[in-house]
Amino acid sequence: MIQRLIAQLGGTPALLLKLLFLGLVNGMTVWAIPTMISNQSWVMMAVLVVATLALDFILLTSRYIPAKYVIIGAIFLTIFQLIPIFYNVSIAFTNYSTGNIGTKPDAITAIVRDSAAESEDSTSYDMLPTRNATGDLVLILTPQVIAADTPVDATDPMAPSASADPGLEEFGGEPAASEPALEEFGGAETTPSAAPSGDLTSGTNDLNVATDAEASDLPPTYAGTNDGLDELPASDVQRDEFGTVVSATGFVNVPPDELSTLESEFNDLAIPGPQGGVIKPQGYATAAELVPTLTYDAAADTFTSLDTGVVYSNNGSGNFANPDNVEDVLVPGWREYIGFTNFTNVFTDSQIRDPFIAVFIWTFVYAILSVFLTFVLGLSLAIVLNKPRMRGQRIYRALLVLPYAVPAFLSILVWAGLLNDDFGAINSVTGWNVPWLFDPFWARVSVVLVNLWLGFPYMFLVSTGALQSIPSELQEAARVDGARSFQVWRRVNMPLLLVALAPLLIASFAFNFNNFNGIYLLTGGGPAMDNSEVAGATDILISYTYKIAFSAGQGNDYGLASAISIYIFIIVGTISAISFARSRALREDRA
Amino acid sequence: MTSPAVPVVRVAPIPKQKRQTFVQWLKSNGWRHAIAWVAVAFAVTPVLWVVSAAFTTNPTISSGSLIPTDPTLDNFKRLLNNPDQPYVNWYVNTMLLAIIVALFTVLIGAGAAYAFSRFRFKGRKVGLMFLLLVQMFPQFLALVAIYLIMAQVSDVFSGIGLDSLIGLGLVYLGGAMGINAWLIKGFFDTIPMEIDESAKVDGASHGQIFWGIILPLAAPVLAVVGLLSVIFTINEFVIASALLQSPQKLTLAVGLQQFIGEKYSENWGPFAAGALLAAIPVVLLFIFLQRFIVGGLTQGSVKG
Amino acid sequence: MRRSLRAAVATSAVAAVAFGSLLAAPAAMAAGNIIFWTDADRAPAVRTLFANGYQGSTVTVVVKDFGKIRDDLATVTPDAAPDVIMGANDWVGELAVNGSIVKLNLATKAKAGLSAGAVQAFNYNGKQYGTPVAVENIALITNASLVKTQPKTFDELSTQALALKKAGKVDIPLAVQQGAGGDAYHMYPMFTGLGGFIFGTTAKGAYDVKNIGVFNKVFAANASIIDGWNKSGLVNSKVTGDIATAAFTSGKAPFWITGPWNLDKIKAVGFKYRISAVPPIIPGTASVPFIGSQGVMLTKYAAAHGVEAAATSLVTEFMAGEKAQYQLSALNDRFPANTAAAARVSNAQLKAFGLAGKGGVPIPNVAQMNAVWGPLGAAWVNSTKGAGAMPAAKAFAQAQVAIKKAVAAG
Repeated sequence: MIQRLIAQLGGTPALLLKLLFLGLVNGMTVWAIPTMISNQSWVMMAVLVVATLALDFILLTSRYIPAKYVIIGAIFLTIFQLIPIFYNVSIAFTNYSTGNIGTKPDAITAIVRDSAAESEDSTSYDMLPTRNATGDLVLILTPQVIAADTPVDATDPMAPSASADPGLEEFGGEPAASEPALEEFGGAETTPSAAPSGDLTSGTNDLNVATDAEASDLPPTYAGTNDGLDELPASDVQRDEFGTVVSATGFVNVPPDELSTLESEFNDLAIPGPQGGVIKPQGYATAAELVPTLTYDAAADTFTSLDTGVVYSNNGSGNFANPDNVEDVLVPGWREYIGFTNFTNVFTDSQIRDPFIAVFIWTFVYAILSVFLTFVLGLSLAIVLNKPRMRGQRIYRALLVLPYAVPAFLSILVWAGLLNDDFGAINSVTGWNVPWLFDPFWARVSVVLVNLWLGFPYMFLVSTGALQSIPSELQEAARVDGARSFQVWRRVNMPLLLVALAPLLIASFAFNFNNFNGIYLLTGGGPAMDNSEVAGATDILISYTYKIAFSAGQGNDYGLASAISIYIFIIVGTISAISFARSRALREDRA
Repeated sequence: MTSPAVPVVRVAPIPKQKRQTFVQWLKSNGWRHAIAWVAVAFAVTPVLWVVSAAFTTNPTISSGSLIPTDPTLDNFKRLLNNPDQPYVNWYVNTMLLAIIVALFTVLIGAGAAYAFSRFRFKGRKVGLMFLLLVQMFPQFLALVAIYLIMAQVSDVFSGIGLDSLIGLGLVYLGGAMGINAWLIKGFFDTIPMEIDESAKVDGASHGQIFWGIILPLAAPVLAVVGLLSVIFTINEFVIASALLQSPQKLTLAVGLQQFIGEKYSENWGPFAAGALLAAIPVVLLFIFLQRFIVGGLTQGSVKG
Repeated sequence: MRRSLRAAVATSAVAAVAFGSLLAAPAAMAAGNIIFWTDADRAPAVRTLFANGYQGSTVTVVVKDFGKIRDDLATVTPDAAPDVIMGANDWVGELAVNGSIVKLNLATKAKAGLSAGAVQAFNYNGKQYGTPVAVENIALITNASLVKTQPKTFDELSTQALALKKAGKVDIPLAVQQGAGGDAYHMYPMFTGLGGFIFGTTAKGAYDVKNIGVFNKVFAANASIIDGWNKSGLVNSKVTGDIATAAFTSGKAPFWITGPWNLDKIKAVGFKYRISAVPPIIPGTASVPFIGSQGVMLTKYAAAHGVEAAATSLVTEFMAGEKAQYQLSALNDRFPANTAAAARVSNAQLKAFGLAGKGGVPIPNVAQMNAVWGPLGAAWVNSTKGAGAMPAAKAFAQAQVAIKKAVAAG
């Protein structure tokens, strides 16, 4: 039925489907071009346009029939496999890492912005956004003054004062003791005064902590525009009971719900302030005078400190730095090409080299042990169960394959629980007290053990298949010749098996060499090694690389991670290339 | 139907046995059973442990019984009713993603295999070698680059870039052609060319031969490739954890890993329930397709 | 062939138009929406605070794994990026160095209303990068039914704990979490109690990352005390957070060093307990904890999203205030950084935690701190792992060297 349908599709409907598909692709590309131009995503645009044209050309002409069947896969391969590899190589030559993640213009913007500081004696202002008679935005500004005797709260744990020993209260025990505290919470949640919405809409804020409302002490109030500050007569200013200015005669308050529309007007405001800086809004109710501390000279590509006169120049590796003190750099930096530094650091910088070597060795040990043990166990079981007249073979096989059928990530997470030193079932059932995931040695045993569990069914399956493909006549013949059964094994079966399975063993080695889940989901690469902040005792190269790039709290070094990933590629590639050259993969191709 | 290149586990019929003494039995088959029992225990115990924990209220990881004494569904309720850990979303995301990616993987792989098996063209050998070579670079080694590419894609096509399951699926398809094309081609090569030739004589186009003749004949290997793809997608952790961000868009691997994280004793019960639910369809699929799998495995693919 | 080409062109044109109208790029979020990243613990409280939006802007609260807030901020796409994040003060260095968060100006009044130490904790290189909303620290929780008289010194604590262990009444004499990866944060009271410090300070009060005090003279002289703890089993690095929690709450540990994030579990125990500071180990040296501070920070994306003023106002004006902080504290069991809100805290246990933190120091927010956690945690693990442990003098000397090297390497 389906085949008939497909056969019928060979005519016009197939053509229509094809045209619809191409139409969608072309449409998508055409539609995306303006966005990509405005984003300046030139590489992406080139790739997309070339891919689309290739698709059109190959699917609409009949000159390249085989290409019709390869083109879509090839496009995916190019975009998500080849381009990432090349991109990865280019990242390996950069300093892309914590502190150097953005572009240079972004970094300059951030440095300029963050360098505008309040000067020593600068003032914060209470701010009231209003409009004057002509509808222009005017900020009603009142300097914030703090009463000298602002109390320091004794419950502030960071307050330096050491208060008297309060004596210890006992909590808990009978429910009554903890009830009151809980009840008070219920009250606080439902008390209307604690609900934020009421205050939000009233347009005031709750910052009026310490000002005194006596008129004589009140600071002057100004009307601020880009022309400067204009002091308002005290009689024109209306205040609430805390002394906060709530309105000014001649100006209409901007209603609270319109504040969110003021973004661009706020941005344009730059009120010259008394300290020689610029007063800018810092929210909706406060403003501050900011004085720049650094100036950027675009022509020389340098920053100059207005305080110290130090000139920070581009140090060529992604930062503006003080030439007299290389560690005095301005942050943030930006991404910059730094040549082979990442590649050579792996060998020259002992901070990177020492853990790298340890991880490198363990990676090989882990991969080899994994392949060897799974193969030995899998093959042994295959031999044991490969007996024609044996009951229950089918059920044994089904159960033995179970670890292979369960998604590996689940099994690994489960094992991490079972091996948990103190809660884990293994220690508590056996009564052992083995620090499975805790001690470097046992953690290594654990990752190999779990990998054995995960991997032996595969080896069992392929060994069984291979055993059964050995012609029984061959074995019979050998036996008739008088060879004893072990001899039969060694001379006849084993070579045949190895020929059949060698490519699989090598593939398995390559897989385990990069068996990220098997390590990361079980131990996270831990436990920690003494000589590294990042690498742990069970880390293999791939998990180590991942942690360098993405590990929380250790900073991210994408450049270094990319460089190491290229080393991994070279190692795995070499091993695989040798094996492929030897295997018959290509000879089997009947070209 | 089964090609000679795909050995399938054949279970020999068990002939009636003559009565034998215990020692005889032990010598011939008994020790085999003993070893098989030990191996089965090794293979199955962790699985049973999880099943048991899933049905035990507040189990500790060490709760010592393989059979829950008082089975309940509490853990499933806790698992499914936690809005911060939208397990149902993870489940649906993962299964849909796995099936769709597998479908496209099979089509892409089969297309490439058809071209390389049935046509002779310039660059064919080079192309085949190239596929093998590229496959050696595991996609997730270029994770940083993939991430940055997807970030750019997001800026143009929001919805298929970062934090998007479609985007994640597209990335997975980047690895669809390589080894799968080889695997399928191996099978296609065993389908006699004469079938194509006679269809061509009857006026069939290359498309009709591909869709109507070759694909149906290759169903076993396509099933294996599809299954391996499903397993790969379900297990894939690294790329998914880097690209996906919103809690409701995670896959099971990422979501459950975060869920269990450092809180083994706290979340063990619901985790066990979640693991059980997640494993069931995969195990069923595996059992269903098992007769194809051995053949597929010996062709050189490794569980990802 | 010509015909199909023409058809393709026509289809393409139609599809292009269709795409244009269907997928019209949601370029930048609609103006007036503030995206706020926080973790699952605080999200309900934040949602309550901004149920009606903020001053005419809507507030979208996005829940993230706490640690992921920082990580994802470096890699998020601009459209989905947050305008405001809530996070820990020790993130400030890294985020500022990356340019991910921007400098703020806390107004004079707002600053006066906040704990000065907490404000300082969000100051990096003399610039303010966040508004603290809560402070937290670890304290010693004592099972009052097992320990009748609260120990005044660490020696007394040790004697009591080991006696209980010997009598078989408890499993773990002192439940303080480490685990395989180490936990320098939870060990910090013991670290300072023995005379250790992490970074010295310059005359100006900034951290002097060259002056590393992990194995300073005082600490070196006291290091053998750690070997004694290891030998007696008082402190064992195999105790993880899970184990410590389970042991104390089931009455199998007389002492537990933990923070207010476990208040729910503490309140649920069936026995009486006390909350206090870790007692001094050597006379005259206080065993002080780290004071962690959570706060809100403004990201560089707010400007691009067109909500800079709204988000700034939310961070520096609203969140600094008493009402917001009191609400947050009430919903989330953390001690507010706003002193007026702190004075209103009625939760006695929370107050006790606050008192136990007296004298504590903020976690250094310099990026070099990243080089400290690993080696310092490992030194504790190596010197307190029971049999086969490394002498503490050696373990901490190693850590000192490792940190120095890492800091020098940048």
